[in-house]
Amino acid sequence: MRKLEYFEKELNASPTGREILGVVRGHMDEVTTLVNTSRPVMVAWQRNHGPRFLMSAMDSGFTAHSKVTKEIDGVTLQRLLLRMGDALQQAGSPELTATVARFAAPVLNAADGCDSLSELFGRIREGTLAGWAR
Amino acid sequence: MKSRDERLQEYMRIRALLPQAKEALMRYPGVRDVSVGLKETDDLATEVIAFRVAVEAKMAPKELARGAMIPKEVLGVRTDVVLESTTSLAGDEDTDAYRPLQGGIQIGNDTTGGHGTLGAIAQLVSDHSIVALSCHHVMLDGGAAVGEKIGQPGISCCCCCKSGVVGEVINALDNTLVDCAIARITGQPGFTNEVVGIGLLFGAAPLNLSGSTVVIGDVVMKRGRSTGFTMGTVLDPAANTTKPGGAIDKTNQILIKPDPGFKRFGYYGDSGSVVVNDQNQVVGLLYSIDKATETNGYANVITNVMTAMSIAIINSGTTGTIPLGAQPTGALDDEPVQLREADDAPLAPLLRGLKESGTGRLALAFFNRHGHEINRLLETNRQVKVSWHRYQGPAFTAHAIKSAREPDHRIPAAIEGVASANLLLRMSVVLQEEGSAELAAAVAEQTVPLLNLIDGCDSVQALLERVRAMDAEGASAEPALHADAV
Repeated sequence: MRKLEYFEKELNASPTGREILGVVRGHMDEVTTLVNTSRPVMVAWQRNHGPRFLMSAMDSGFTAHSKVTKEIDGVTLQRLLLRMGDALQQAGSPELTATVARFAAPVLNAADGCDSLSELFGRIREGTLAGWAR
Repeated sequence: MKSRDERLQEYMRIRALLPQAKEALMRYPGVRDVSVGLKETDDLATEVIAFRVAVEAKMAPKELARGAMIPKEVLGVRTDVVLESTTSLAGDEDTDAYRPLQGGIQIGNDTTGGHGTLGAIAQLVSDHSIVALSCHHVMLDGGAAVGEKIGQPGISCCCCCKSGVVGEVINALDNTLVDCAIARITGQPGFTNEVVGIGLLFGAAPLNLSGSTVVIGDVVMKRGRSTGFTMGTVLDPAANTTKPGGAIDKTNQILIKPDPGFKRFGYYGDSGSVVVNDQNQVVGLLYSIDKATETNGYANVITNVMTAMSIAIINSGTTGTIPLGAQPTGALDDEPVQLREADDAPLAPLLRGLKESGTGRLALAFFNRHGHEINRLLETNRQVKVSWHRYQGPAFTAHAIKSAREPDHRIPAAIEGVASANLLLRMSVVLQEEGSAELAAAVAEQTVPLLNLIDGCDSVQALLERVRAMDAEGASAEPALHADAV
């Protein structure tokens, strides 16, 4: 729980972070429901090691030295995000589909360009997350 | 207003009763045929699907013998008494010369000089060469044979030479299903996958459950050299026609009634026009008009034409066929025309801009290397095809083409709730799942760079500016298109 609070505090510290937080809060219930009840979403999440990537991110530290796991058993983090984005836009509400379109580029860029949570939060604070401004 | 699906289901239900209804109704004197179609009232197509009872002549009830009156209902289905549909080949006024060639324009053969309409540009399945599609009775008018020269707008002769020749007939068929012919394009007149006044064509409509490319009540359109652009409603997707005297002429034809505002759907000279649905997909090939009304048109189902001629109707929104066109040149060349980029093609400005930039060249290299496979998947793989259409691929392509032509035109951020990024994500995943290992790897690698390229661009001009900015950024934080795609 401490880590979730830390994420929230980090995001609340900047306009970009607050925007991200708003988006996450706005869709959290729907995404959770889809992951647990929609077969295509469930398959994309499980087959691409979603639970393990999530656990890995939660377990990593917040220093620049704590690297985020980018690949598990040959599945890349980017592949997971791409498949989840696609599954959510197919199974989700029109609002969720629009959010997937809006945030696909920055999320995938972040997965590609940030090596640690520290680096990710740093870019969010500075407003330099690639693809965010458009 | 019934939905398309409801119309299809009701049509299927009533068509299943047709053999029984036919048996009962053909006993009445003067009845020549029974089919399933929309009931007409006061010369307008209604929504009611009925048994259309074709008779030699309509008579007042008092003139009929006792028991000869056709019942108003059979098997719980309404009847509609119509005059027997004998056909007259839609055989004469846009006589202009068009270069490049495109659908909806006048053509004529060498033997008689008679005129018809070039329906559309199509592609031979065997070697992907480009052909012009029209009717057998247009291209081989007057008993001409395969090898006949075709002219646009016609062939003109002087003492020593012929001019206006744009093609040579290579295949033709006239049987109970089709009346069609194709000509290989010669002489470099250029071509584009459009119909005048209708716009880009997006392939052929697939067959539905009823075995046709249309559903009863569908609104369709065509452009011919005689009556120009017209719209109509499908009265019967599987009509039979008879020759004078009553012998069956053709079966499974699309019967189209002109919509209010159009005197006729087609007329003499419109033969060969392609009939197109509201998504600019070809559904039929207009070959005749109904002699009884001189307003309704008959069209071959386009899939029968494609099978008979071994051709494909090209999808303008298909990667690898963009731009679809070839510029006209004065040079004579007997080689078949191949699909290639042209300076006057719709997306030529975009291509030129991309070629001027390193990032753009890399994007083009990706499509050049993998376009053929993507194209093949779009045409043959159901998952890929469905994804492309469901995520508005053809519509976004059409807007991109319009934006390339008209700088003020804006590509919408979303079409029917789908943004270009949604389309790209879907296509990325489905191509990785359905394509070759090489394509899957290339798509996986290029998805994020392509997403960055299109993200937020509402015009071709904005896209080119983005490309130039990415070039200038060089090793920026955003990943550039990867060089190994070249």
